[in-house]
Amino acid sequence: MSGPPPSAADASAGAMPADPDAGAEVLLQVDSVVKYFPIKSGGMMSRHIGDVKAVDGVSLTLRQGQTLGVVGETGCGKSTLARCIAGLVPITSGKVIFEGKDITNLSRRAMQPFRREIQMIFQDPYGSLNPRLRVGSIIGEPFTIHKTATGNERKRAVQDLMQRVGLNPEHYNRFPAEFSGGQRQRIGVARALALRPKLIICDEPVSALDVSIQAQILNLLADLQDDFGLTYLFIAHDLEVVRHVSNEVMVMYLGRAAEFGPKNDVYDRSHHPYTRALLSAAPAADPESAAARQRIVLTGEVPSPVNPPSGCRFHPRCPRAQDICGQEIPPLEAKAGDPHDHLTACHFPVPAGEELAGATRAEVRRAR
Amino acid sequence: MIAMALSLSPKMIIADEPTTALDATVQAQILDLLIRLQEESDTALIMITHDLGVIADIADDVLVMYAGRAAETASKHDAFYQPHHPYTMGLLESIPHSSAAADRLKPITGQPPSLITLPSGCAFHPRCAYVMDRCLTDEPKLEPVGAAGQHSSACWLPANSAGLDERAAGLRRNAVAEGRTHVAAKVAEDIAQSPEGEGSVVV
Repeated sequence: MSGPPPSAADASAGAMPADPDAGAEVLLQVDSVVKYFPIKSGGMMSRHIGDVKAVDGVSLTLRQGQTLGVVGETGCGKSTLARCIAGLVPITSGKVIFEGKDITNLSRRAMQPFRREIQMIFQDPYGSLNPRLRVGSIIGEPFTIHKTATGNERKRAVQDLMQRVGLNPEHYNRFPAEFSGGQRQRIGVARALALRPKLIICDEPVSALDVSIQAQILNLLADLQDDFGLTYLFIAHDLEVVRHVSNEVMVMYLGRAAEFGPKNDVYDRSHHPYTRALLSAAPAADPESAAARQRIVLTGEVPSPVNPPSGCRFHPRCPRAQDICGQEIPPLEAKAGDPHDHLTACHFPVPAGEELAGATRAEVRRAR
Repeated sequence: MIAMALSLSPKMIIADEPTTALDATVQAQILDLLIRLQEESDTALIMITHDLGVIADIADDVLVMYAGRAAETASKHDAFYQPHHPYTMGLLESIPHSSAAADRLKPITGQPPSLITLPSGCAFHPRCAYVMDRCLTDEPKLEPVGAAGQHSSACWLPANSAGLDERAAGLRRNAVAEGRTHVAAKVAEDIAQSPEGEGSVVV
């Protein structure tokens, strides 16, 4: 890796400077990335009538060999952020810097070498594999596209990969339909590994799997990270899974980062009311703690990203909201007493040790 | 979707993975809604899910299925705290827990079997750490375990070996020591050797 990472420029937009104390080098820096999807009116003379503000100024820093978990509600922009980083959709504004090089909106040809370094694993192990291709072709396709191995060399490389991810190399000629969901996700993992990438973006990689297979895939991802020094951006809505795999966690709400920090800071000492609500809503797989759980009930629906609320986007649903929250966007910053890498975007952060009012399921029932 | 399901005020609702793709806050809202409807109109609810958190939250009784058959049926309390079937125990152990210090999860080995060619005997035997000789040949029936008669399991382990404590584990070890000769021992060895790869081959 060459040179120091470029400094994050615009602090007011919530940009996050690289951590000077970090041991490992910064692999990926995302700087105030914005992604709007235009909405056009119908008909011949289609006009631009608005935007879906999927990602609206997200910054993050990811170091070599680390895992950053991204959590948030459906439609909060997690997957769009992933696609922006992987270069699958053009970015409206902002920068993606990979190994110190600006890879924002590169041409296809210029992006080609970076595609080898940044790979994705998708949620749906059924839909993300071509059903008419044999497994050997699916896993070997990256070698063909990037012309790194051919013929027998390619076959051997593919079978090594299959072995590595726990598939039987003799199944080289089978079709995806002949594999179970967990095995298909292994195929997706093998395909992502083929070109020895540095960064793997995992977009809900275990959401479609049952818990026992989920544990197998999570262990596999952990082993591969150790063996190959991989860096993961791990998107999931299961908070326990994210806590298990991540070093750092970013909580997103409606296209923006609500809270960011080392996982134990975010899980045990969170300040953002949305983070608190999200954590309190996650059911524990234990009946006694489920019954005792004090859940913070949020009112209202998630607003539309076409017309998001002014100021703090969470303010219409926030139990602590005051006037300023509807007027000013809270900067993502370290709050008093927090380590410098625990950042919260909130005007009225919940102090450590204070609980927001919640209710158990039994209390909710009695209240009716 | 829920409104459609309710339009004829049914006596029973079958909810098939209703919250699987949803995140925690929305999932909680959907579960609240289902429970409220259930209480208001006295509707029965069959909740199909692979999320054990949802079951812990809202179920009264639990049916654990494996390869097309009932593996265990129990009250919610017994399913989580007094499981008898090794598959139920394996599911509970697979979940990541924030409290667990260990950084490796404990998955069930192998893959779910093909429903076209089910394994002989107990369909779970190629993945079961407690596999015994009879598991390879005889299919266990759903039999009562525990005193209340509310709890049944389709497993050859002794009925009194339900639970996650040391006493129950000891009873299971004894049963395995008695019930396992070289045939089952070979299966157990295969399971131990391919801890997270392909246990049974899906054809």
